[in-house]
Amino acid sequence: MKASILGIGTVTPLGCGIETLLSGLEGTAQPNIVEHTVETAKGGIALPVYTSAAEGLDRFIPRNKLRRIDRFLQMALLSSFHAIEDSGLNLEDRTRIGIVFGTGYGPLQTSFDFLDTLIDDGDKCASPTLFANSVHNSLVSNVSIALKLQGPCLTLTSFEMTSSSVFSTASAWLEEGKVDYVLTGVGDEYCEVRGYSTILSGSENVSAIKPSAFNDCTYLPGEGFVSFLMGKEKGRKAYGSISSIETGSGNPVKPDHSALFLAANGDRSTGCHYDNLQKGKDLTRLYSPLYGGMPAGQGFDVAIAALSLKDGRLYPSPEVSGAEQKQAEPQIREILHSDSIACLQYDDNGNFGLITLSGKD
Amino acid sequence: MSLENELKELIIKDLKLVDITPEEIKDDDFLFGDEGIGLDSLDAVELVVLLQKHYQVETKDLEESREVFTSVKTLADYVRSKTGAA
Repeated sequence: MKASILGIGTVTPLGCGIETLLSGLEGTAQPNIVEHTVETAKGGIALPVYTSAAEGLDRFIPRNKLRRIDRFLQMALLSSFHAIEDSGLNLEDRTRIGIVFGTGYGPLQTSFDFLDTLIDDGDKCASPTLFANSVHNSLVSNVSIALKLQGPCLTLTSFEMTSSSVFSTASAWLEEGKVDYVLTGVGDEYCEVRGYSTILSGSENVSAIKPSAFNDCTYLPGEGFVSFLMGKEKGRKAYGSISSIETGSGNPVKPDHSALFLAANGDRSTGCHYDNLQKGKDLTRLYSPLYGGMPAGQGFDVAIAALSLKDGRLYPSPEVSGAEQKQAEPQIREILHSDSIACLQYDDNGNFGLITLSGKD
Repeated sequence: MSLENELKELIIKDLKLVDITPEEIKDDDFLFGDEGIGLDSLDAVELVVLLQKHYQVETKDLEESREVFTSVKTLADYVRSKTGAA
């Protein structure tokens, strides 16, 4: 399996586009963390949220066409446009470009807004637009329409296993020759109900994600979307290839000499599984303090891995975030001695998805 | 506020129209098509919901709906005929 990553687009709390992600990795930019007040039985509780915004989407779609597009879809659309633009490819036959997107939670805000209209106004007055956008697959449908991509399209939802499912499906489509390119993407969004759930899970008074404190609850919700244009060919700006995808439970077998990116995000229920791993400390990195906690977090690590392979550098794990974040200080990038990077994410049952990227053809 | 102006505000809010204010919509502007404010078929479904939700007025007859949804004026006249609103 050798599916090349030809282009990347990101909408993260660091901003839009891979340059903003690189700035975060280099320590010259900090993620946008907005404090929300979550209403609970105990009163309002402050919750820092890693917040993203699809700024600049009107460069690709006129403003008046965006009125029915919710925030989640805006993030997906913008990262998709950026991924194709970043590839530098002139994609003429768009019938041979498929789409595989994934999300842990889907368009949460729209789903709850729709339910509100249903509860408040009855089934006769539930909003048809909100209903249409609350369906998970509306994501790829809208991206297909906006980018005129006419190949097969699919949306996958598998919580923490979402990213491995997406890359596995996209790689299989390319291997089978079903399509020439696949636009892949994963993401999640924040909404008030998720904030409430976070507080209930024990994140009250948490000010910063500490992903390596595996047995502590330091989870803070994040949101964003990351998209990849993938193909069999080694493009001019290729970022490396997906060399293997492994799923299972327990301890995965990491390729020798690989760097290891853990999608640990301060969630104690998954943290214990990372804690049991045999880790080569100097080649292990944790980047969730750049994008926040979310089921689709592994996709953001894949983007960071691709950038690292392209640059031949291994960026340091961000040390602190949230209210404890320091002033931006340039950090020294380490030379990446390995030619592959494995990205690992666990769910709370100990199931894992391991996506390995290689810099070699 | 007149019923016409109330409808214009509701249309902009519920249909999430951008770059247009209630003052820019004339009572007899076409709601649909390029000559008017450019609503489309999905907006028509939202208009049905808007009338039901805010005025408890149902529009079930397709032919009747075509006329009712011509402009803000025809919408207001229809609401008045069904509710006796001023």
